[in-house]
Amino acid sequence: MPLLAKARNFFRNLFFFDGRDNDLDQEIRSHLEMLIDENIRAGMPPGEAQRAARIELGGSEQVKEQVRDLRIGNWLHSVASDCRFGLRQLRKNSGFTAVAVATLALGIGANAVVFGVLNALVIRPLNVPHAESLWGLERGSDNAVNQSYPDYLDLRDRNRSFEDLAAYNVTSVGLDTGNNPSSAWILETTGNYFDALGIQPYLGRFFHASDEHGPNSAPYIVLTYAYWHSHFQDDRGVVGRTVQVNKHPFTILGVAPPEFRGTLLIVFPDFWVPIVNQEQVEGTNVLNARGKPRHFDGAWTPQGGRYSGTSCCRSQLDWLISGKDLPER
Amino acid sequence: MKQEQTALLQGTLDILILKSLLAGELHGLGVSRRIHQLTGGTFSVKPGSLFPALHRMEEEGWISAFWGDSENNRRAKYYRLTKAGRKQLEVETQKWGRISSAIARALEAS
Repeated sequence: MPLLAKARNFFRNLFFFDGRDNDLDQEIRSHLEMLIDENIRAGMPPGEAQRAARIELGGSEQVKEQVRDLRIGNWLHSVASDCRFGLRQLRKNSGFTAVAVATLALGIGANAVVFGVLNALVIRPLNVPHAESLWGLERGSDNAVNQSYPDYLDLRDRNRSFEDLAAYNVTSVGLDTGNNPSSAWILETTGNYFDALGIQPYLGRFFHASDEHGPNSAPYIVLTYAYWHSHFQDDRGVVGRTVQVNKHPFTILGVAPPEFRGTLLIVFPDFWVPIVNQEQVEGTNVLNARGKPRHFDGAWTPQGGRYSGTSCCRSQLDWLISGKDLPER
Repeated sequence: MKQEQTALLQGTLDILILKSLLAGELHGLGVSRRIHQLTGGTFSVKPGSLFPALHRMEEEGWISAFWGDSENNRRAKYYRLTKAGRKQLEVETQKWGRISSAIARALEAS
């Protein structure tokens, strides 16, 4: 069949369905009447003639359905009819409809959550330049990712394999901006954190290693873009403002770019503070606490017995290493 | 005398309908009766096969339909062959000739 005729039939069947169907109806009816006429002419009594004609026709609805089935575009019409029927049924059975809608809502919601996690883990992983040359450092002996701060300092100072070595620790604090104190998740990070990651601030500036001058020397805050947006209403005058973190005054230095949401997988922090101010933030000073003597299975192996500290491990820091070379095993 | 009825072979209905319309326009019942007559009562086309075939062939463009009055002054839908339909009848006739001679040859072979 030529394409043009096909298209014409398709549109005719689709948009003039009722007309086409009336036509078919009349055709079948006239066929039946002619059959009856024929039977009467053959000498049958009228009742018998009608019966015989119906038998020969074999059910006018079935015949009509068979004709409709082979029309071009019939499937589209039946889909539309099914949809109309479905909607009528939904309206009639409101209880069922409510359950079905609730089920769908829960299903979609659950999927959205799964996608959110997937998004954080797989689709939008750490959004920093040269993420491929970032390495997390773990202790080989017991697979613990946490290290003590003095160990970090040793590793950082003796590091020759990586460009830089930064550490962070997640904790929650109370933040008072002047009107409504609220709790917030934060990352306490070493001063070189942002520079090691190689990112630039969205607003103001980051803190650097040069801002650290011993314990509690750097009362600074860098906000995440999301927190700045939701708690400071995108106020660009926020830079330089002093807020209270656990009742200690901290100065907001800047805002991180929107695509950078910290270096943890699922927990996105609200802001960052320098780890040297850990005592103010957490209330106790554990920065000098040493971890157990350990063997490092990574870039660098300390001599046995190098770490002679006690067993206190309260200051447990996650390691983050930035560098270009893979550690030699 | 009761004629033995045979089931229509796949694809033969089209050729029979086209052939029955060659002599002139007919309505559905007319087509059915003409086929019955043409085949000496061997084939009798039931409406359940006839009407789908007529409508399909109309969509193919082989036949065209129009409303007219029947011999008993009833309104009836008539079908007539189109130019494409005549051509199709030739094609189908040739095809059928090949098929039937091939089958005949196969059955005569010893």
